Amino acid sequence: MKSLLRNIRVFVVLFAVLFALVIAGVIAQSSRARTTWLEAAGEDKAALRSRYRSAGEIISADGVVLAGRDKRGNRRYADDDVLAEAALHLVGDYTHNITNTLESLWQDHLLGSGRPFLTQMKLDFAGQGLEGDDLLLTVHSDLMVASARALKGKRGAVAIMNYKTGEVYALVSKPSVAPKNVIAWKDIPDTALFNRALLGRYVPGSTFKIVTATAFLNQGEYPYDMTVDCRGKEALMPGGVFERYMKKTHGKLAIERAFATSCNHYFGYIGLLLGPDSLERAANELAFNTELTLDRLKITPSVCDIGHEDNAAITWAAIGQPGGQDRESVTPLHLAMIASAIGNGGVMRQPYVVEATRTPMGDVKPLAHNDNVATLDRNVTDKLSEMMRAVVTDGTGTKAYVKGLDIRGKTGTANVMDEEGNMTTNNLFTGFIADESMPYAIGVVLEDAVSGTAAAVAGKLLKLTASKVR
Amino acid sequence: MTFTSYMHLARYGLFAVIAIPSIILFYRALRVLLADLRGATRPVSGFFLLSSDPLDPQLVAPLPLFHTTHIGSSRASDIRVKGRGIRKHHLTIYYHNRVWLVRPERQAMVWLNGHQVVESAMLRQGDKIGIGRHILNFVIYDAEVKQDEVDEVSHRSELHRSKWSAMAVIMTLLLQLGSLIVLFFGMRGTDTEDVAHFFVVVLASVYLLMHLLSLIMRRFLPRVDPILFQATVMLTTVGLIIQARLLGLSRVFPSHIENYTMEAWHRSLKNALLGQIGALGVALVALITLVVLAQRTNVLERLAPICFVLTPILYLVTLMFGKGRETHGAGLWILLPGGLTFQLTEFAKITWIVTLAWFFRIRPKGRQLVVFAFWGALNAGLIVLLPDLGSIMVLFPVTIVVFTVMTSEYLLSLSVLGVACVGGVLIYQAIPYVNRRIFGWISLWDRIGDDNRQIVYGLQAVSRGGLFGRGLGNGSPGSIPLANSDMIFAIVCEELGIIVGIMLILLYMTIWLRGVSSIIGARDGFTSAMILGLASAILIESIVVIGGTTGLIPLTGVTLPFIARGGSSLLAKWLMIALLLGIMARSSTLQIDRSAQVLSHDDASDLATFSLRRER
Repeated sequence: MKSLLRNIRVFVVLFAVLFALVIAGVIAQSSRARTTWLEAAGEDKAALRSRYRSAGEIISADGVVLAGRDKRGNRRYADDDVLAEAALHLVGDYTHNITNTLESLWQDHLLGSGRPFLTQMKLDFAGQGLEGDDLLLTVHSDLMVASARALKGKRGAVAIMNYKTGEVYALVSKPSVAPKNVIAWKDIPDTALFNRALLGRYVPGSTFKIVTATAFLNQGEYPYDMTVDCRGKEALMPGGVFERYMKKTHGKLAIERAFATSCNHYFGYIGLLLGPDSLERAANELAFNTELTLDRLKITPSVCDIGHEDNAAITWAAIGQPGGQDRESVTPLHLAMIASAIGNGGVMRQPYVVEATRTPMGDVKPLAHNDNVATLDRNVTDKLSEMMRAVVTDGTGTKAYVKGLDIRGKTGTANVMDEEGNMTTNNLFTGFIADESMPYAIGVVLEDAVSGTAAAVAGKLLKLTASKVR
Repeated sequence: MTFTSYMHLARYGLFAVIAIPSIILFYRALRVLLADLRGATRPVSGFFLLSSDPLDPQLVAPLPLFHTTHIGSSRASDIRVKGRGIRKHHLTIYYHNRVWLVRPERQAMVWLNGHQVVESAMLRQGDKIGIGRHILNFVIYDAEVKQDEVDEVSHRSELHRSKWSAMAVIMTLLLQLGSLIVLFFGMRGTDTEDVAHFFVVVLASVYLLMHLLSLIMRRFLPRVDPILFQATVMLTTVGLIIQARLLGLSRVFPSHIENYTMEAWHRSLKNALLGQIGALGVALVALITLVVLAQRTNVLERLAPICFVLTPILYLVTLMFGKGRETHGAGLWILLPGGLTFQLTEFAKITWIVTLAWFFRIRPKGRQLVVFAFWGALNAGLIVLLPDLGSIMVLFPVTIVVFTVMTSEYLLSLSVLGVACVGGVLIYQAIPYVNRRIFGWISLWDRIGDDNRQIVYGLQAVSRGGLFGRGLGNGSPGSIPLANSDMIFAIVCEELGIIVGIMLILLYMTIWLRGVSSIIGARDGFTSAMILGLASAILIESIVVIGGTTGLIPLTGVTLPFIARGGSSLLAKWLMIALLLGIMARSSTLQIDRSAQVLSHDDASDLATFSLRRER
């Protein structure tokens, strides 16, 4: 009997521990589930529909409803068809057929879970306890529509942001499709659900020369006014870079002219002088190889991984043509972020798209947005800024020129293989307005487009941004 | 305000009427147990061993007896006797099936009235037990028994009278009443309006029946544990509320199904609730009878050999005639005429526990242990063939717990656990269905697939519910496969909140704590083992389900006791509760067969001395 009592004591302790573990485990698992799996493939669509009936609205900075409720209480997206398509990848759909969207990743706010106890109780007594919070965004419906129109018929993406604050004004990816098709899962064009603006991995082309120039400006070994003799179609070295699209040569030039004319010989040469490590360091300063996010949305990290083995390959990498996006890639939003760091005196702001949340009772709760992604030497970025002005005024990016605005930028043309194995060219542009009162930056990528088109789109959209955003 | 927002507000009230009684019941069960554990073991009253010094017959000392008394030179013995030829564990004196028995342990020499005891022997009034040079007299002393019984009954009824107990009952009533009102008004004006009256009437009569039983037991069976009964009523009420809600509340007629009429739909809803409540009704009606049978008779002891044979037969029958392998991965459902389905494996759990208690009423000798091991392996093999891993996940831990507590064989238990781990790995590799489940569980947070979808959706629902839930009827059970059975815990958490989920765990724990409390005062080893087995089975089953639903352990097809859909499970669990209530209420004052009271020796002098001493 003595031993029985002792055994019981032992097992009471064991079961007490088990009991505590189970309770702790249940709590831990449920709180872990709150932050993961906001979207899971194959969720029950009817259940999702009924759940989103009381979800909060998603509203643009100029007060246009991007996601709301129709008269019968069902989830409905923007009235304007172009806007609805333009906002599709950012806003998403309640069926979670598209992932990495506000509708799925912000559903705890939209569905009103996890509020402070007293707030929730107040809402409950007002009969609004089940209604979710509204999301107030930084995007402008006009700019979304204009960006979508500018990309009409093409594949590509646009990202416009404020380089002083980090607000994102437009984030558009094409091709797109109407939200109702996504929900019904029919008539969806190829790759229309892919958010190119955040997830597209594009070979940077000559926009990468910003990185090579940064690496050059970072060092003191070679003089700033060092010149290189451009030899046009003749390769820099066997298998090395040459001017693909020029009949003549650029002649003897220093970095400023080389940047404006996007001279491959110059940048291939200094890339070789500086070496891959120094290029990769400069790229890291500009937030390549870094996990980036846009609020809770994931951004594919831009890559810069050059390798040491082959000098000819290094010259190609230095001009942004490394022969594969595994070596170098950039996303459209990251392009805008690179321009914004240069426009903002070396400080790369954390971009954001959700300005504030609003409870069903109308209390607006602004979210904190004070982070910087990266900080560069101001002397370097000021010089880069000057060089980027020459690109627009008197270089490869003159199509981006807008009278009355000090637009600066860098063009890029990347030769890539499409799915069928044909060589096509993507056209890129990263730029900003050098004006304290109009601190706007842009990144544009157009697939299968001729040189200069991205610059033209950027100029037009920056002009519109300057007039619309105040 | 709409109905959904009313329900969202009502969740606070619902939370309160579930949480307050749960905490009260748990707290009181815990306090009683801690007090019991602190106190020393209470010897059995009315039975003694008289030790008489061989050199001085005048020196007589009464030694207390327990329902199982170990005698030997070891420190762990209840009665420590030293001397030449006395082994560490020398003999055991135990009570079983209305007689006292003496059993020598391995290689120990024990004499009873001058004859050596080989296996075991019955003890009678005045028997002389010889160990080494010592003689112990077995004495029955009736006068003390009566008074003791009166004391114990009055101590027990303390549990009834407390105002807290009344509070718990009132809260349970409030919960039942509130949920009936919700069902009645919530289903008004919806597709299920016609079903509402039926649901309310059926549920109300079951609730009434439960309270009536509670009153009857309080009045006529004062030894029956009110805390355990109340905890079970609470769990069943929550279960019925959730099941009625899943069937009726916030439901829209599936008009897209061809040739399906509203009437047919309503009929199926009513039948579904009746399937659940019918099983419960059967259990409730039989409850008092079962309680009295388990308490006042030794029918369970007599049934034990039958259970020994029956258990493998139940599995065998399921293996041969079971259906449902296609849909659930295991064919456990026996079809009866009239469209009824029956899960025999649920009842096999009870027969297993009876057999278990019978084997381990005292520490069995080697040969019996081997017999049990073979029997267990045979059943385990049949279960694996089914495959019903849920049963193994419950019965294996229960067996280990009962075995270890009753025999103190910690080392052997640990090595069995080790062997089981190896066996588990083999099963994992051999059975694809298990392999999928385990793999889905391991890769839970990395990858969502067919093998873990259920848990993912369940956990999403739990996290949506937050602390207080979304309110009854506001969850989305449609998004979780098998929401009403396997994943019911997720629904409870989504609609009533994770706190209520934890309250359920508290209630299961309450049942266990009450059981353990009564083991200490139990009258014999069989009763102790039986209580421990039943209480542990309910607790372990609930933990296996809750752990599986929340991804803490791999999901197995076990149902949450008293809450999940499934008539067989509900019936079996209430049968377990009935047996538990009965055997826990067994008097600790021992009845013995008349034959044992006959003085086998004319040795009244010792007895007279002893009586004088006690009365002084």
